[in-house]
Amino acid sequence: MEIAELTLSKLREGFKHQSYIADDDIVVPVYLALKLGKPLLVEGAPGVGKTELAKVLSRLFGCPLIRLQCYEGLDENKALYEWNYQKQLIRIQIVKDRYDDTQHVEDEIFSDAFLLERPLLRAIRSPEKSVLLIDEVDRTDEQFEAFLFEVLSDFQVSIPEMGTLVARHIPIVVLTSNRSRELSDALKRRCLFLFIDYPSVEKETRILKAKVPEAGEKLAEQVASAVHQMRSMDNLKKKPSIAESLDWIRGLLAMGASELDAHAIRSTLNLVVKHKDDFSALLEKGCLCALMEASRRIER
Amino acid sequence: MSVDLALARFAMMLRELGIRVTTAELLDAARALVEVGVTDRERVRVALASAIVKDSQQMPAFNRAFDLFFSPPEVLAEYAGKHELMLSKKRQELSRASEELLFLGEPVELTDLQKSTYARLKPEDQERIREFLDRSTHGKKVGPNFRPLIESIVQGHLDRWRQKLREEGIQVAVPVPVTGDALVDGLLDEIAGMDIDSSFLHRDLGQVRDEDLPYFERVTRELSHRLATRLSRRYRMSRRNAQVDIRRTVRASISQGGVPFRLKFRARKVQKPRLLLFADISGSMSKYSGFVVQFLLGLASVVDTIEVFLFAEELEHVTELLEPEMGMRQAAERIIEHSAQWGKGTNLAASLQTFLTEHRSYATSDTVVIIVSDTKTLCLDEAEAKLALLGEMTRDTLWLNTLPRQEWDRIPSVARFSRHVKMFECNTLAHLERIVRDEVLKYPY
Repeated sequence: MEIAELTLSKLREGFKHQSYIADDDIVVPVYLALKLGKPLLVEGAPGVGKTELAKVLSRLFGCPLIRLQCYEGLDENKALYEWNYQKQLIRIQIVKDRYDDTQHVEDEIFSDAFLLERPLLRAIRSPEKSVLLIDEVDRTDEQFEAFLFEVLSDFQVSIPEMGTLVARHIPIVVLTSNRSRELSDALKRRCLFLFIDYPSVEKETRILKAKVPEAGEKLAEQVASAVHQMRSMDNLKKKPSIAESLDWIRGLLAMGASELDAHAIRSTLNLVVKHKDDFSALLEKGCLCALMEASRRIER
Repeated sequence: MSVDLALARFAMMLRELGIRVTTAELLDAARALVEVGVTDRERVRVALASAIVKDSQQMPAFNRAFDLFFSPPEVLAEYAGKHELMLSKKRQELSRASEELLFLGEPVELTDLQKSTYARLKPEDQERIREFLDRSTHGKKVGPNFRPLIESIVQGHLDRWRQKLREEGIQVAVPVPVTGDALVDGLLDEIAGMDIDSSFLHRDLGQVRDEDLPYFERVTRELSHRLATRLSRRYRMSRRNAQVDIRRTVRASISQGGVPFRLKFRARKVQKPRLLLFADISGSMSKYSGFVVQFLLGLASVVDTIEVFLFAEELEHVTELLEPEMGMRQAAERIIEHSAQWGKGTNLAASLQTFLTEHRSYATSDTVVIIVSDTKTLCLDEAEAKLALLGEMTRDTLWLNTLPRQEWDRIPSVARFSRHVKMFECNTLAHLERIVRDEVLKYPY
């Protein structure tokens, strides 16, 4: 698919074809980011499909996915490029007696063969259009963020020994954030924004059916309703994500359950709940009944 | 109205609601509308939101603004008319206050905020102020030289009333045309009447209703956990900002014939902060203190120690009563059960004296002291002296003042304590998170 020929309905169809269930609240921002050539900043709780969105775009446009996983302490060397220091030292040792001219050695060790491309440089030098996923950008610090938006503004970098490298193809850029800290206004201003919230019961049912077609309609609806009920509970320490709903329904199928009952919930709850206190809270009689009630509500 | 003009006015309205809209974002919004068209209302909403709103917490405000702004023309005209009417009513209120509050036949000098406060009072309370002025006017040997004193009494009285109204959840505001555009101002009035701040982060913690408490507890826990997780990562060794350890690099290079193939880095020395918390639990302060205690306990993994003291008329050391995973209600129950100070009056001087006598060893040069209080206390001079002494013994003293900043000028203790501490306004979770992040945990330690 080419971006120039892209329409909203084609993008929607494309998502559907890739089993990525998305309504206009997701499709429109993605469409605009592609059309306006702007980075897309995707925010939302863990497990709602932020990273998956970049993967889907990569499959949809048939271009490679280049992923930069962010963490505190990430610096330019890890994100952009680094000289292969060990290889350079070995090379110097090998050729030190061969040449009198040190300039020759210097030119050699600061060439492509000694350059370690990191994700950002790989995206800039990619011979074809790529999807650049900058995952969990909120984990980096402010200095790196400032460096990042400089790269994202011009899509060119200067390497002192090699000169300025300009992107051959502007990549599709997707940044994700879990909101562990506030991102700078400068970075946000350069991006279009998409917030992915937990889905409604109806939408989650569609997601479950699309991703796990072997689960019946009834089980998908019951799981979606029960998970929705869990998310509405204020005392849960960690709300279940869509990824965990998928794990749960797959686990239920593996256990041979065709519908959600108290026994099935008890034996598979650890697939959807990852905190000891949450586990105990949900196994309390009242909570279990509420889950059962939520899942039965669908049948009425 | 053209699309460009509509967008510009919409942006003006959003800015007044605290949503930052830059020209670049406005241009993106215009380009987005070209791409998606303007016939589908929901599509327009999503397109504008993705170009303009960069914070999910601002979405409720954006949605309200969108729903109102893109209403039919006759509805918009109605909002503008209502706004004009409201402005004229407010103007009447102000002039009525000027006409009614007279001393020696001349209006008492009051700010618009004080006049608005007067207008919000019950008729019997208004009557009391008028009676006071009337009696003062007709007193024996009363002359114009009494005016500053009388005005100061009335002003102080109205300021106290405003504080009381605020505690009851009634906000007194000065009516001013915000943008000068009747339509935008009218819509802003409509929004002001709605409870759009679904972001609990910005709500006054003293006003939290009991039924909302579980939600607030969860948000507090999440914020605290988020901060702790982020900081624990910072404590891990990173090559960024680290220095090459020459000695270890040379030693390691011996096996490679002296060629330093592998660089060794010097790990940063990590020293976690020690916190000393003094939380005021007198009267209306207890709720604020409860949130601060819960928030700080959530940071247990990233601080060296936290010692918690509660104070009202006296000081109580309660660290052992509290556990990091304890909810606010549970903590409050345990404190009420064990504490003799809950809900009493405030005597900071006596409380600090107890600390200096019985718990002095907790105050060390690497300790950060955090005090949660509205600064209102008995024995101000003595309290100030003790505070100065505590400040000399510790690294830093942060005062989380629960009073809104605009009230600080009229409370003498604020200026007195500010000489010895760093004072911050702290009555919402957003304030609390920012202060702890930027001030308590800012040191590289």
